[in-house]
Amino acid sequence: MTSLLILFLGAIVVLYYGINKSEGKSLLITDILLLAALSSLVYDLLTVKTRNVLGWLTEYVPENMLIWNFNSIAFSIVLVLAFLLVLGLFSRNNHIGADLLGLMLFSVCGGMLMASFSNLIMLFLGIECLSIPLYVLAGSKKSDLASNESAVKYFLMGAFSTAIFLMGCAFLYGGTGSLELESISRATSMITHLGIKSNLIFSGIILLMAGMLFKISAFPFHFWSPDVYDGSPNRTTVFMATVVKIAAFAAFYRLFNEGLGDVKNWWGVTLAVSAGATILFGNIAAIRQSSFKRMLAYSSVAHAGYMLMAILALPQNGFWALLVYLIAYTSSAVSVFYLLDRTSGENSNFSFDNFNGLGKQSKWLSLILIVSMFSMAGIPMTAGFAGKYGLFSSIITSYPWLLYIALIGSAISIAYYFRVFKHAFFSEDGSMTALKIGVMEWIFLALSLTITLLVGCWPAVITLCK
Amino acid sequence: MELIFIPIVAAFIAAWTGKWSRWISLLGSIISGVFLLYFFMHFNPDAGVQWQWNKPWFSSAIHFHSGIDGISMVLLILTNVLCPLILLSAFHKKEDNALLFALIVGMQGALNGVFVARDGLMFYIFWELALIPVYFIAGLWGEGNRFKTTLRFFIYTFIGSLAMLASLIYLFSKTPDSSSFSYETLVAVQLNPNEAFWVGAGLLLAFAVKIPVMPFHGWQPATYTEAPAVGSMLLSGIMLKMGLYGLLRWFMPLVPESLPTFMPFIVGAGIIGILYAALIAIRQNDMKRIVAYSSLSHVGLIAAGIAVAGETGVQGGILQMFSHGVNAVGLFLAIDIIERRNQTRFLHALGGMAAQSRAFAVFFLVIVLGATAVPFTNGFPGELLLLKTVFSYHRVWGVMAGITIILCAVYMLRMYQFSMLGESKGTVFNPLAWHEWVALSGIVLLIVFFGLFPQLIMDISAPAVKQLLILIQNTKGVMS
Repeated sequence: MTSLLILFLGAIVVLYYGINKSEGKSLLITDILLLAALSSLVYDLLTVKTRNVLGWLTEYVPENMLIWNFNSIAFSIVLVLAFLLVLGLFSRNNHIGADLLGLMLFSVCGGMLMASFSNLIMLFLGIECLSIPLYVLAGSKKSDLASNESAVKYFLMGAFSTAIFLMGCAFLYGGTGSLELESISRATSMITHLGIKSNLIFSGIILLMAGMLFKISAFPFHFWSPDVYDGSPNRTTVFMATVVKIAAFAAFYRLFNEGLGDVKNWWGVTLAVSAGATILFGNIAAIRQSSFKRMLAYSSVAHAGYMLMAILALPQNGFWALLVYLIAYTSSAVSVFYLLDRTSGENSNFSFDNFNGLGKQSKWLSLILIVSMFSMAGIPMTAGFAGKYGLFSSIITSYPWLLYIALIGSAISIAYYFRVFKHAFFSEDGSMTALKIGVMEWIFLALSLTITLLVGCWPAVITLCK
Repeated sequence: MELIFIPIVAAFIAAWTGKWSRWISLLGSIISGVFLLYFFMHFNPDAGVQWQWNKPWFSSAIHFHSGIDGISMVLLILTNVLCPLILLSAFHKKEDNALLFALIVGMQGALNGVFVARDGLMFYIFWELALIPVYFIAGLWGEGNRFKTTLRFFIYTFIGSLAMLASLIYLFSKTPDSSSFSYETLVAVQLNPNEAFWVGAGLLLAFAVKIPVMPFHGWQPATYTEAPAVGSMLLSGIMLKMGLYGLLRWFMPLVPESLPTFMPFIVGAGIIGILYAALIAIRQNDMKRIVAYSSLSHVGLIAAGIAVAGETGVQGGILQMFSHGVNAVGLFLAIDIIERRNQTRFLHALGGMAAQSRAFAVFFLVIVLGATAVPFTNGFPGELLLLKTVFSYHRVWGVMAGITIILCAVYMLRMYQFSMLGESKGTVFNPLAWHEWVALSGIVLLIVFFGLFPQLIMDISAPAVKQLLILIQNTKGVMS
């Protein structure tokens, strides 16, 4: 809660500060804010067991619309860490203004609300708080047509999906008589015990699911993501691919496991089919892309499909698998997007050719590219494998067929992830101009590399804090 | 433990050191060999799994559990003897090749990991890790359409690996409380026939692709041909043995229920592969391709012999794994030496080199004879045992497999004759460099020595093989 207040009030300060001050200072303030929020979250995490999870905020937050338990704090930490990485890697060279920083901070606040909601109203507020800044951020490259297009597309689609989501909330309210997660859970489990089939609740669940699937860009609501990812400036794309995804999955996980976990047999198969289709579609579509950025967009669709498996799994297994996978995906995606951003320079040509000659250019950058790609593809000793292993082993008893689809998807993914190696290492023409990378950026790159390798070689490090 | 980490650490150091890379790699590789020598000196074949090292790793269920028994020991010897020789064979590449040496020695660590793993997931992890260095070796230093070839190779093996992962996870979910990936618990899992079929199919796919058994060999000839010499050596000399080892150590004890179902297919595919590959090899002009197909032909026999699951067959298979590793590395080394001097390895452009270098002619001849399984070379005893096994399994298969000796002699001697004998076609042959002397004589020594004393290897593995077969027969009482 403290961290949320820090970030929210801080965002307002940053906005005011940015009116006539230099960019550098507002960036510094943001960094400090994030570190403060992070330390407060870590404090929360360490003490969450010893005090009542509702704690003192029961007194301040009416009707417990937020509940900070271990899961939500862990997701929030990953969220803030991801934002820190994005900011560290994508701010120096891209002239980020205080306005954008403020918007991103608000968006992160929305993400934290989504991770810790206990009332559908709060979830809705969180989604809006997350999304509305994003519509602006998608169009933040004001003179670029593609950026504008992606903003409009994202806004229209997002508005529709929010409406569908709200409709779902209304149906669920009609069926259970409450918007509280706990009451919904109680009502639904009572209904299943009595053996009643409530169409109102069922359609509410499906509509909620549609809204959430849109946010994580899963089949059949994935179609916006390649265009929006491709058109948005790199900074926004990586923000959407990491921070937004973490928040959306945290909310998805909480809503469907803590709220609707007792009626899993109502929505399980639907979600499993969606996950399978997402994996297949994302992977197959990514093969044919000539633009690296579009490939990453489709691959992020595929990753969303894998992560959906965590929601179908048993709650505890699913939570840890999801957490590890989110960390793995974030740490590798940030590095890869950074390399893409730097190699493409000023122009917005994001083809694979940009990477030609990277191998001759720098050993460390090659290492980072290799490790990140391996992590995305799920090769052992990288975090991606730890995440995939967790997901696969948590799903095998309940949905074995989904596991096989996921394995096929992983096999396909090699074809496009390794394609960049052809350009970076195997191609003859190495005409890449030297990249100048600042000290801070090296630090953040090293940080994400360390996370990827550490979690990959020793995933138990994540569960240590249990 | 030491066998895994010393080479991998050496690889990381070597990758950043530039021109010292080859010495650091060699040092790491040899230190690992010295450790193995120490283990070997204190090794008691009858004592089961030794030097166990067991620590929780990923979680409480997944341990880092290494240990050496007789079967592992043979393959560890193979790996740790061949890897320094392979390093030596590439020693002429000084500049810009720091990474090559690092990858070779890293590969050694990963292979050691595969052969000592006593935990299902650890086995899988090292199995995959061993793939990565060879992918980069073949991709960075290969020739021809190397990206396409290496990608095909990677996808083939990766699909197999994923199927294995699925099978392992399934077995894991069937252990009591899903509590452990350790070898013993996985072996103890009971499956119904339907489950056993699918789990077995998953494991078998991984191993069949890697071996490669006949219908899954699509990646093999092109990869061997287009990879650089060291890549081909690693692939055929050691990596193939991962597949055979997996078949023996993991597939057969883990799902013996499915063995009766799959046995005819493995034997049949292996033996058809023998004939198919041998016939193709006879028609080849590219020396590397000949060796690639001959490899395919030999491993078919080994796979068939092992799959019969009798003591003779398994022992012969282990012996032949060792011999084939040595021979294949020797052949690729000889071809590389020829190619380096003449810039070609096509038979029609070569000839008359025997007159130019007597020493090399003798070395090459011994290697060729070893590969042809002439008595008193290392190829012979293993092949004999394998043929005997296949013959007693089914007479027709035995006869068909027996033809392989004739066909093998045809293509091997043809290769030798066209390249070394006859008139010189403008070929030049500079004297052998010191590191080539060391590598060649090391291999020739191995060929002759184990041709004379094959029992030495069989003694190491015999108790472990007996135990393994008892495990297969007893736990489920399916066989006999």
